[in-house]
Amino acid sequence: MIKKDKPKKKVFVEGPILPEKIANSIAHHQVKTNIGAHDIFLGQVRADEIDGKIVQAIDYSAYEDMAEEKFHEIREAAFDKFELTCLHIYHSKGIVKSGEICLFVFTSSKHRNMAMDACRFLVEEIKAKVPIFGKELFEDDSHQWKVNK
Amino acid sequence: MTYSIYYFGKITEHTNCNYERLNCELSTVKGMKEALLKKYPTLRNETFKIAVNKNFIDEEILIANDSEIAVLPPFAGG
Repeated sequence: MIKKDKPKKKVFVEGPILPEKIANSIAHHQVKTNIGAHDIFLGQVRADEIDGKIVQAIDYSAYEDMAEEKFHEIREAAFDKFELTCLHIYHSKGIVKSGEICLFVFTSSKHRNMAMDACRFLVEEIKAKVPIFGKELFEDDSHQWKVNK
Repeated sequence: MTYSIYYFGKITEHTNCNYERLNCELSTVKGMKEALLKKYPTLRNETFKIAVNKNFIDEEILIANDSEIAVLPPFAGG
Protein backbone atom coordinates (compact mmCIF):
# COMPACT_ATOMS: atom_id res chain seq x y z
CA MET A 1 0.00 0.00 0.00
CA ILE A 2 1.32 3.40 -0.91
CA LYS A 3 1.08 5.86 1.92
CA LYS A 4 0.40 9.23 0.39
CA ASP A 5 -1.15 12.44 1.61
CA LYS A 6 0.11 11.84 5.11
CA PRO A 7 0.81 14.94 7.19
CA LYS A 8 4.36 16.28 6.95
CA LYS A 9 6.64 14.48 9.36
CA LYS A 10 9.27 16.17 11.45
CA VAL A 11 12.71 15.28 10.17
CA PHE A 12 15.06 17.29 12.38
CA VAL A 13 16.44 15.83 15.58
CA GLU A 14 18.38 17.97 18.07
CA GLY A 15 21.97 16.68 18.28
CA PRO A 16 23.14 13.24 17.12
CA ILE A 17 20.82 10.41 16.10
CA LEU A 18 21.33 7.77 18.78
CA PRO A 19 21.89 4.09 17.92
CA GLU A 20 18.97 3.29 20.28
CA LYS A 21 16.63 5.32 18.05
CA ILE A 22 17.74 3.29 15.04
CA ALA A 23 17.27 -0.01 16.91
CA ASN A 24 13.80 1.05 18.13
CA SER A 25 12.86 2.08 14.63
CA ILE A 26 13.74 -1.39 13.33
CA ALA A 27 11.80 -3.01 16.19
CA HIS A 28 8.68 -0.96 15.37
CA HIS A 29 8.56 -2.56 11.91
CA GLN A 30 8.28 -6.13 13.16
CA VAL A 31 4.47 -5.78 13.21
CA LYS A 32 4.47 -4.87 9.51
CA THR A 33 4.71 -8.39 8.18
CA ASN A 34 4.15 -7.44 4.53
CA ILE A 35 7.71 -6.05 4.54
CA GLY A 36 10.38 -8.38 3.20
CA ALA A 37 13.35 -6.01 2.96
CA HIS A 38 14.70 -2.93 4.71
CA ASP A 39 17.57 -0.72 3.70
CA ILE A 40 19.25 1.77 6.00
CA PHE A 41 21.68 4.59 5.31
CA LEU A 42 23.53 6.20 8.19
CA GLY A 43 25.57 9.34 7.70
CA GLN A 44 28.39 9.70 10.24
CA VAL A 45 30.52 12.75 11.00
CA ARG A 46 34.11 12.20 9.85
CA ALA A 47 37.14 13.47 11.77
CA ASP A 48 38.70 14.90 8.59
CA GLU A 49 42.12 16.47 8.79
CA ILE A 50 42.15 19.86 7.09
CA ASP A 51 45.38 21.90 7.03
CA GLY A 52 46.70 19.94 10.02
CA LYS A 53 43.57 20.42 12.10
CA ILE A 54 41.06 17.70 12.90
CA VAL A 55 37.30 18.13 12.67
CA GLN A 56 35.83 17.61 16.15
CA ALA A 57 32.17 18.10 15.31
CA ILE A 58 29.75 19.58 12.80
CA ASP A 59 27.26 22.21 13.88
CA TYR A 60 24.26 21.72 11.57
CA SER A 61 21.82 24.50 10.78
CA ALA A 62 19.08 24.70 8.17
CA TYR A 63 16.52 26.88 6.48
CA GLU A 64 14.06 24.71 8.34
CA ASP A 65 10.78 25.70 6.70
CA MET A 66 12.18 25.10 3.22
CA ALA A 67 14.04 21.98 4.37
CA GLU A 68 10.86 20.39 5.75
CA GLU A 69 9.09 21.18 2.45
CA LYS A 70 11.93 19.64 0.44
CA PHE A 71 11.98 16.54 2.65
CA HIS A 72 8.25 16.20 2.05
CA GLU A 73 8.68 16.53 -1.75
CA ILE A 74 11.53 14.02 -1.78
CA ARG A 75 9.48 11.58 0.30
CA GLU A 76 6.50 11.88 -2.07
CA ALA A 77 8.78 11.41 -5.10
CA ALA A 78 10.22 8.24 -3.57
CA PHE A 79 6.72 6.82 -2.94
CA ASP A 80 5.81 7.58 -6.57
CA LYS A 81 9.00 6.09 -7.99
CA PHE A 82 9.40 2.95 -5.86
CA GLU A 83 7.05 0.38 -4.37
CA LEU A 84 7.65 1.18 -0.73
CA THR A 85 5.78 0.08 2.35
CA CYS A 86 7.19 2.95 4.38
CA LEU A 87 10.16 5.25 4.69
CA HIS A 88 11.67 7.38 7.43
CA ILE A 89 14.17 10.22 7.34
CA TYR A 90 15.87 11.87 10.31
CA HIS A 91 18.56 14.54 10.15
CA SER A 92 20.43 16.22 12.98
CA LYS A 93 20.54 19.87 13.76
CA GLY A 94 22.98 21.44 16.20
CA ILE A 95 26.22 19.81 17.27
CA VAL A 96 27.13 16.29 16.17
CA LYS A 97 30.59 15.05 17.23
CA SER A 98 32.86 13.02 14.95
CA GLY A 99 31.81 9.37 15.03
CA GLU A 100 28.19 10.22 15.73
CA ILE A 101 25.27 9.77 13.34
CA CYS A 102 23.77 12.82 11.60
CA LEU A 103 21.49 11.23 8.96
CA PHE A 104 19.23 8.18 9.18
CA VAL A 105 17.32 7.04 6.09
CA PHE A 106 15.21 3.90 6.44
CA THR A 107 13.27 2.33 3.56
CA SER A 108 11.06 -0.77 3.64
CA SER A 109 9.54 -2.77 0.81
CA LYS A 110 8.38 -6.25 -0.11
CA HIS A 111 11.64 -7.01 -1.89
CA ARG A 112 15.23 -5.81 -1.66
CA ASN A 113 15.65 -3.94 -4.94
CA MET A 114 12.97 -1.33 -4.25
CA ALA A 115 14.19 -0.73 -0.70
CA MET A 116 17.83 -0.38 -1.80
CA ASP A 117 17.15 1.79 -4.86
CA ALA A 118 14.83 4.06 -2.88
CA CYS A 119 17.36 4.46 -0.08
CA ARG A 120 20.07 5.56 -2.50
CA PHE A 121 17.66 7.90 -4.30
CA LEU A 122 16.65 9.53 -1.01
CA VAL A 123 20.21 10.08 0.19
CA GLU A 124 21.28 11.65 -3.12
CA GLU A 125 18.20 13.89 -3.22
CA ILE A 126 18.67 15.01 0.39
CA LYS A 127 22.30 15.94 -0.20
CA ALA A 128 21.48 17.88 -3.37
CA LYS A 129 18.19 19.58 -2.57
CA VAL A 130 17.74 20.21 1.15
CA PRO A 131 19.05 23.54 2.50
CA ILE A 132 21.15 22.24 5.39
CA PHE A 133 24.47 23.84 6.33
CA GLY A 134 27.36 22.34 8.28
CA LYS A 135 29.98 24.23 10.23
CA GLU A 136 33.00 21.97 10.79
CA LEU A 137 34.48 22.78 14.19
CA PHE A 138 38.16 22.33 15.01
CA GLU A 139 39.81 21.92 18.41
CA ASP A 140 41.25 25.44 18.41
CA ASP A 141 37.77 27.00 18.04
CA SER A 142 38.32 27.79 14.36
CA HIS A 143 35.90 26.43 11.76
CA GLN A 144 35.18 25.95 8.09
CA TRP A 145 31.92 25.40 6.20
CA LYS A 146 31.26 21.95 4.77
CA VAL A 147 30.20 21.64 1.13
CA ASN A 148 28.65 18.46 -0.28
CA LYS A 149 30.53 16.87 -3.15
CA MET B 1 8.85 47.14 -2.05
CA THR B 2 9.77 45.55 1.22
CA TYR B 3 11.47 42.18 1.30
CA SER B 4 12.33 39.97 4.27
CA ILE B 5 15.78 38.55 3.73
CA TYR B 6 17.19 35.58 5.64
CA TYR B 7 20.87 34.65 5.56
CA PHE B 8 22.27 31.22 6.33
CA GLY B 9 25.55 29.47 7.12
CA LYS B 10 28.68 31.13 5.82
CA ILE B 11 26.69 34.00 4.30
CA THR B 12 25.99 35.34 7.83
CA GLU B 13 29.73 35.88 8.30
CA HIS B 14 29.52 38.53 5.57
CA THR B 15 26.23 40.13 6.60
CA ASN B 16 26.71 39.90 10.40
CA CYS B 17 23.01 39.22 10.73
CA ASN B 18 20.68 36.40 9.80
CA TYR B 19 17.65 38.52 9.01
CA GLU B 20 16.83 41.99 7.76
CA ARG B 21 14.04 43.91 6.06
CA LEU B 22 15.11 45.56 2.84
CA ASN B 23 13.27 48.43 1.20
CA CYS B 24 14.12 48.70 -2.47
CA GLU B 25 12.66 48.95 -5.95
CA LEU B 26 10.72 46.05 -7.43
CA SER B 27 13.40 43.52 -8.23
CA THR B 28 14.18 40.23 -9.94
CA VAL B 29 16.41 37.56 -8.39
CA LYS B 30 19.18 38.88 -10.62
CA GLY B 31 18.62 42.42 -9.38
CA MET B 32 18.49 41.21 -5.80
CA LYS B 33 21.85 39.49 -6.25
CA GLU B 34 23.37 42.73 -7.54
CA ALA B 35 21.88 44.72 -4.65
CA LEU B 36 23.27 42.24 -2.12
CA LEU B 37 26.73 42.31 -3.69
CA LYS B 38 26.66 46.11 -3.53
CA LYS B 39 25.65 46.06 0.13
CA TYR B 40 28.05 43.24 1.07
CA PRO B 41 30.97 43.37 -1.43
CA THR B 42 32.79 40.40 0.18
CA LEU B 43 29.91 38.15 -0.92
CA ARG B 44 31.53 38.22 -4.37
CA ASN B 45 33.86 35.48 -3.16
CA GLU B 46 31.01 33.21 -2.12
CA THR B 47 28.79 30.77 -3.97
CA PHE B 48 25.13 31.24 -3.10
CA LYS B 49 21.61 30.75 -4.39
CA ILE B 50 18.55 32.85 -3.73
CA ALA B 51 15.23 31.23 -2.81
CA VAL B 52 11.98 33.21 -3.06
CA ASN B 53 9.19 31.96 -0.81
CA LYS B 54 11.15 28.69 -0.39
CA ASN B 55 11.52 28.07 -4.12
CA PHE B 56 14.17 28.67 -6.74
CA ILE B 57 12.64 30.80 -9.48
CA ASP B 58 13.84 32.12 -12.81
CA GLU B 59 16.33 34.97 -12.33
CA GLU B 60 14.26 37.31 -14.52
CA ILE B 61 10.92 36.94 -12.70
CA LEU B 62 9.89 39.91 -10.57
CA ILE B 63 9.76 39.24 -6.84
CA ALA B 64 6.41 40.21 -5.29
CA ASN B 65 6.21 42.65 -2.39
CA ASP B 66 6.57 41.05 1.05
CA SER B 67 8.28 37.95 -0.36
CA GLU B 68 10.51 35.85 1.86
CA ILE B 69 13.97 35.79 0.37
CA ALA B 70 16.69 33.39 1.53
CA VAL B 71 20.35 33.61 0.64
CA LEU B 72 21.69 30.06 0.71
CA PRO B 73 25.31 28.89 0.60
CA PRO B 74 26.15 25.38 -0.74
CA PHE B 75 24.24 22.58 0.99
CA ALA B 76 25.97 20.21 3.39
CA GLY B 77 23.27 17.82 4.58
CA GLY B 78 24.00 14.19 5.36
